[in-house]
Amino acid sequence: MRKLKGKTSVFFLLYRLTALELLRNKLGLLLLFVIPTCFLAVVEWTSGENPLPVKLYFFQTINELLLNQREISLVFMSGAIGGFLMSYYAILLFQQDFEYYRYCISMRLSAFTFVAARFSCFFTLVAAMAIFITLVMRGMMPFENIAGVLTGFILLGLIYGAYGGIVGLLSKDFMVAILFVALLANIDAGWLQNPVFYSTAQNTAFIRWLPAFFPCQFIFSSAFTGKTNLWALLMSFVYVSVLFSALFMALQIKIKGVYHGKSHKA
Amino acid sequence: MDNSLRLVCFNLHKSYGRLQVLRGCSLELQKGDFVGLVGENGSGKTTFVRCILGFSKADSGNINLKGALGYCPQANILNRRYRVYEHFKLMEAIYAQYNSLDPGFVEANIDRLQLRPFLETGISDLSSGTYQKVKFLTSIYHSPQLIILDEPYDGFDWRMYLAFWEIIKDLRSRGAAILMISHLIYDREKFDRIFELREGRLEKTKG
Repeated sequence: MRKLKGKTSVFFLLYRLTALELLRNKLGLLLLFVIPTCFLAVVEWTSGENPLPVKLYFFQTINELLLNQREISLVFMSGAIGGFLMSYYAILLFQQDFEYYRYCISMRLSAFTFVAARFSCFFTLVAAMAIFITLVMRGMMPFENIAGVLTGFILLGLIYGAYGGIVGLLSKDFMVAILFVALLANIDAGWLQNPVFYSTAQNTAFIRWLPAFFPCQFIFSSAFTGKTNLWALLMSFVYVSVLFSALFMALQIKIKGVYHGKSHKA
Repeated sequence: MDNSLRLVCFNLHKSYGRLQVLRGCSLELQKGDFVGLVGENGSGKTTFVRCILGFSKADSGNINLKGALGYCPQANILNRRYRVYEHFKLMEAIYAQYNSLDPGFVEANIDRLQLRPFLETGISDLSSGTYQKVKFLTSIYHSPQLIILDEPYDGFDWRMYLAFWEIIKDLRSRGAAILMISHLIYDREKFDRIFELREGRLEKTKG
């Protein structure tokens, strides 16, 4: 059997197979580009040019600036859609066919290799989504701001992806997982991180600790001020690290007890 | 653990709430042993296997396994988004660490199980019998020393059923210890021992 000959590292093979899994989900792949396009087209079509006062949170200062409704809505909506889509894909990667990978782990596939290959493939997907959204918005910001915006979308995608992965691993039902994602994505990235809302909100303490806050602040700062919001960047990395550690722990809980060639005592 | 021993399971107890599923089950498998485990639906056969493999934690008892393990689960766990050869390629990469892969053995079994025409087929498109063959081959791909088969020939036609026994004979000659679980066991003469799981206890019915 020619196709089974030749040695490949488990990591690269799993990465390739994960990519194939995603590519074979034709509808999901189409939605990755169609959904942001639809939302951004509606924003472009419906929003006006009125200047609105918004606040941007830096480490010790709050910058107030006037931005037009279309610009704010495009960036905010891109974040909301990107976050939701990445959570959806993370559920697909970490929930569907999990019993298969659990079986593979019981046959001595390293759990670390499994997670690393899945993460790497997921990171590629997040980067693709972030590049696509940034390209769509490239006309409304100076060229030198693009790198910051792209980084922000990647961080937001990773944060929401990790959340989607955790929810996917801890719930067996796809609908339950997607509803949990919709709950947080709607409240956080889809509502409270809207600069028009939070700039005049009565209580921002809650809003400022939600997972989308820091990457959104980094995106807004990069897009509209050209400044690198280091505090938001650092805190986004903290959220990414914490959530990915939690994802790994959730995975460990799910595969706990599988046979690894050792004797066990009840 | 004695060198010829592949599995020692001693005084296993398992309950789900008030329902006592296993009440002191003990079992030993030596190199080359072929042991059957029967029981009615819901008698706890799969629970027993899951405890042996560590998928479920037994309430008490000891379990010792030795050597490369092959497991054919009853549940349909294969990744539906892979093609058959992709699944085998992944399993081959995982099994490579056992150093027991024998390409000749794999090729022979692909032919015995008539899987060659299906290598390019998506797992979601397989018939139930072919799916079962892929699952069975997965469990023996690396010529393991201890094999646990849970309802392995469900959906096999007569020819495949005969091929199955040929493969079992081959595996035994290679020194594999095999535990086969089924709600119905035919060809009782092929087994060294047969146990029945009844009211949580293992009762020897042959050997």
